[in-house]
Amino acid sequence: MKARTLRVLKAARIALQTLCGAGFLYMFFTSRDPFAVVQNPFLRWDPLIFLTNPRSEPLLLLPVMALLLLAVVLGRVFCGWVCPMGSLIELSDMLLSPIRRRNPMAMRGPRPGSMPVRFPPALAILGATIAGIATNAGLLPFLHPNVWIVRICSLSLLGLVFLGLIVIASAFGRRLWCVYLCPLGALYGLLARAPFPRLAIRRCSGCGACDRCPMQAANASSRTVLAHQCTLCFAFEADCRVEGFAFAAARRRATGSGISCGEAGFDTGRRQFLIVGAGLLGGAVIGGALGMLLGTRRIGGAVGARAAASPAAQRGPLRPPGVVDEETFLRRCIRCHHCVESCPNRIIEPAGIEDGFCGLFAPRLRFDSNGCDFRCQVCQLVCPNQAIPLQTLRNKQRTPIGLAVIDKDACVVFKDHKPCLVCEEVCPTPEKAVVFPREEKIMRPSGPTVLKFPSVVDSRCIGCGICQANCPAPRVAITVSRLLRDRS
Amino acid sequence: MTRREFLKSAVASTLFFATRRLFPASLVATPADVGIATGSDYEKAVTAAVDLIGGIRAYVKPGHVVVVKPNIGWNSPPAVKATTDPVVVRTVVHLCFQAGASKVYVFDRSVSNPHLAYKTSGIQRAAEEAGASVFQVDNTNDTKLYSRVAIPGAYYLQNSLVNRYALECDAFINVPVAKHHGQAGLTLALKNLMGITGDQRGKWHWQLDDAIADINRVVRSRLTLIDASAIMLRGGPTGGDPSYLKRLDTFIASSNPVSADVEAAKLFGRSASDLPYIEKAAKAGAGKASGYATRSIDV
Repeated sequence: MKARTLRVLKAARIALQTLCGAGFLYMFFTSRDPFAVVQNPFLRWDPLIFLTNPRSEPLLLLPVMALLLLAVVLGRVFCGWVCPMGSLIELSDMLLSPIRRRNPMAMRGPRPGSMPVRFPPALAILGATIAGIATNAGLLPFLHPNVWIVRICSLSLLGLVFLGLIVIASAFGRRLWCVYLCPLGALYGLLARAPFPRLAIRRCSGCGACDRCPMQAANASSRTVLAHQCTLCFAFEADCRVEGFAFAAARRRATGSGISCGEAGFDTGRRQFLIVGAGLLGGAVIGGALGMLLGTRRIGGAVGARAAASPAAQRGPLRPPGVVDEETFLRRCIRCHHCVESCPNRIIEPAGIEDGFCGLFAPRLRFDSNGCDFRCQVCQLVCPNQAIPLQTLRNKQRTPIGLAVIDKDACVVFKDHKPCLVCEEVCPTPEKAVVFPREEKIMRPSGPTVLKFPSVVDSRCIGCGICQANCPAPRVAITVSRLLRDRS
Repeated sequence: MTRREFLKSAVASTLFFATRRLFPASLVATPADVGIATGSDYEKAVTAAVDLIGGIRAYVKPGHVVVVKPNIGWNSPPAVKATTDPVVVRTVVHLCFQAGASKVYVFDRSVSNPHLAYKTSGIQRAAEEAGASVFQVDNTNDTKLYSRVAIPGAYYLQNSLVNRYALECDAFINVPVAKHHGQAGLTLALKNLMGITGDQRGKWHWQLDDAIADINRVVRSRLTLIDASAIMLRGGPTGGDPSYLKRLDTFIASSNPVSADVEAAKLFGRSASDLPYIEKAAKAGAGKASGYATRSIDV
């Protein structure tokens, strides 16, 4: 290919990366406005995330299929041209290049580290991820690049730690995450092994320009371009003195005709297949075992009578509105924290280790300062994987999150005989869930006062927590709990 | 007709027309304390109700900085009537500017998330389109927004954080919506003033009637306009079911919130004695609970 064409392609790639990055940021920040919520397309249409919740909606199926097809035809072009995490890593690599050049530990030149990566560990990670999807303690939420970029954008501690790791990695080598670890990249790389014309080295002057390949896909000494690594980024190809890069049919390369350097042939093909398969399978075994092992520690209050019987179940986490089945929720939730970011009342927070590995980083509700607004569906709208199912407003207003319980030892009406009905006032259900079946007249210095004793009608309460957030008692006297909801 | 008679009548008619031009009709007639207007054109009806009590120019002078305080308490659409009708707010803002107000502020301290409530209620848009400055008030007791006011002779609230816009404006216009309220009985003009206070309002509910009367000592509503276009008979203050509403297309304007509340309570079939805070506010000097002049009009 002509150097000019390659330069144009490189410019186009950078332009698309910028566009996708800007689009991602725009999407992220507009979604903070509860009236302009957008579903993250990088997560919604992601093939790996699709596996956690396969649906047959054409608007979902078509983009997923298109992405897979794109990988079959053009290899990891997504990684180089679209992926916002890839762009961020590239930006970080660019900024840290002076440090990397001075770093004696950095990968450079014809060192083993910069040798073409034929079988990246990412293959095993991909296997582990896919195997884990079946369990509700899968690894996907912790390994998917576009989940991490959301966390980085939300400037959460978790995201910042990951950003720090990226920056540190940049001081040692380029695109290290993409080359060695990314399961999404491994998936696209796997598809890129399909026999389609790929970028190849047809002529070589031995100048070594291709040692600069950020993906460690091309190499001057072996004169190959590894299709499963190449992102078609055209970072250096224009510098090739003999314009030796071209798209060549895989078969031609495989016959080892001498035009491109032949490491192929039937035997090597089978060997490759076996190694890739073994890598995937090994990862799958590890991932499956990990999921089974960690998944057995269920979260209280949600699954099974055994869990409900334990005292820990009393503290079962409250999930965003519309979540009915805890296991389905945990399997589908990729912990992208878009709901955490977009909730206008700021009541969704990622769980820590308290819910076990199953519930690690999964969104849970906290009604300390606010409750779940009766007419708000932002979390349902923003969830890219329908882990929080999108309901009609009517159904959302009828699906219980939990159940409010009045603590008579803390309630000022029962305890101090003060007239207080804040919980009834703020209760948003049209037929109030807080009622006062008992009234009593008491004498006060200022005159007779009617005391109304509050009580919760279980069938009306949806556990939105607005009463809990507004309770003025010194110790909050009405709290929403999950266990009782499951029992009812 | 003699020359003298002709001159007399000429001078008289000139004077008559001159005064007609100088003073609007509403000022020539003696204004009432409470004006009640009914009509399905809310803009007309609101204006008519205000005209019955002397017209907006009696309350807002040129150059005044005005606060219009509607009820934006809940994230609910106008049809639920848990919040003041946006058309009513818009009309009041229009009236203020017609009277020469230099600035009109519209705000409330919402119980729901203000971002949601201001938009869903339609009030933010209606007021901004009318030229008012709308700002959201959240539950943080920002010292820039509030100042602590001592309330001498208070029943219950010895002091309170009060919104500075309400304290420092030239004219405070109270634009509540008439609806049922579990604890207070009804929430009308007097209770609407809860929205100008800071602090933890929850505790006030332990002595709500006293607190309502006390806060009306601090800020006097110069003009009160109660939106009784569709009153919420039960399920308040949040509502949510159309069957709770009774359409009346009525607007009550008053020079004091107490008389307005008494008249509004009548629409619910209740008297002032049912609502202790009315009596208490009247005693606190917020207005007349009885012996006021009422005029009504159907437009």
